[in-house]
Amino acid sequence: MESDTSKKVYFHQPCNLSFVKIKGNEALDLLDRLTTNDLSVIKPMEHIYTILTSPKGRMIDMLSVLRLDDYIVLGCSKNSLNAVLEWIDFYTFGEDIEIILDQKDYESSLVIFGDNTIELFNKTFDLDMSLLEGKSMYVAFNSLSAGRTKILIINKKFYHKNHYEIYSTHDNIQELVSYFAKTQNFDSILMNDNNFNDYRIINNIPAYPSEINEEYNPLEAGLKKYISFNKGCYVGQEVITRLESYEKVQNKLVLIKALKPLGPDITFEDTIIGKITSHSSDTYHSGAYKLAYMKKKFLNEKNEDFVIHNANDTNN
Amino acid sequence: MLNKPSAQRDQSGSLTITISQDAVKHIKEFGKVEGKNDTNLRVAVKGGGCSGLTYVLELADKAKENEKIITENGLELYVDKKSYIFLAGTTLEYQGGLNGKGFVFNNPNAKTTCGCGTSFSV
Repeated sequence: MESDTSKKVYFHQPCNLSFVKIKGNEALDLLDRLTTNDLSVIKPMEHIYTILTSPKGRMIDMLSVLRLDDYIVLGCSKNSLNAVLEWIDFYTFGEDIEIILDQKDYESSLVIFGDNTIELFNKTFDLDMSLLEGKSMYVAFNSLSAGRTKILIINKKFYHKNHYEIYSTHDNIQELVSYFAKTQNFDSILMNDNNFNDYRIINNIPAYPSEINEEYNPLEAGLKKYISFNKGCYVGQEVITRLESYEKVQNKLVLIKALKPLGPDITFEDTIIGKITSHSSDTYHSGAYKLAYMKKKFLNEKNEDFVIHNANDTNN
Repeated sequence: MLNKPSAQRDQSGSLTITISQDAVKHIKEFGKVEGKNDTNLRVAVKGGGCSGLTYVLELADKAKENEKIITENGLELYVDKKSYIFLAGTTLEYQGGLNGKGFVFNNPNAKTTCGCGTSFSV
């Protein structure tokens, strides 16, 4: 699999995400006070990624926040949901906020990316649409099980420059997967968990819990784009701002290609200089591609065991 | 992962929030500036701030439902129950003068505070 997706449209149905609705006049403000990005600027039908951080600036999880007219759809990893809810509950002091766990409207999502994604949407839904990053729109969909219904399409631009997601019920998503697979003139490729994991690894994209966890901060993970440095205080802000201002970020998430079998720790002259966090699957270059948090000061050391692909990338 | 505070007790063994006479004086003065000759004070905590929890102070006429009322030096302090868990044992003081910080929370539950002192963690 190559990262060039210019002639194809890729699909992935993540099974490791949870979506909850959050209602209340102070819901957005509370999330803004707890996370890295500036949520105060988003309007109804807009989406933003933000990172829930501890007071030490470490990552609890990356949150997907979609603001609709009457509530927020909050997405996070299924395995971090309890921690995220516990975090929100801990910092809630009488604010007007209600979390609805058992919601069916947006219980599932479909990741779609590739250069022809918009063309596919327009053909499928008979539209002439374009969506800027962070924008979303409702689209009518004739579901076999539920009749005429509406689904949400969101431009998220995280996994790819043309990364969109559809939010709907589980049944609708299943139908859409089948429908897209049969759409003529498009090479629709459904990626299973392994394929998708390989894709994100070779594109140096962090995921929970392998890279997004309480061992590291968002600057180390290359998620600076999702930090607002002028929004004011949030939990962990002082640490993160100091790390950035004084250039004290210790590690950097990099893509490496192993030239021989590697253990979980990467060493240099008996010193641990990095930790491998993800491996590509055995069927993709025999698992040689890996993500690793490397000590920045050792990034340019010559090493016969592996090659670093993005040591000097200035993103983080 | 999240630490709940272990609230401090005063010398009599009871949990309370105290406020210094100087702080009371300044609160009464702020009340007069706002046109309230007999003001009281709401003290609370809210999520946010660099260290996770931020102090909230506001002038108030009366307690809300479910708020605890603490009378100190002729001033009523109104505290909601969840904030009280994080504030029990706190002394609210006022540091005036050129180098003063204004109202200061000496909170025994706070393990760390941020640089500006307005937020804390437990």
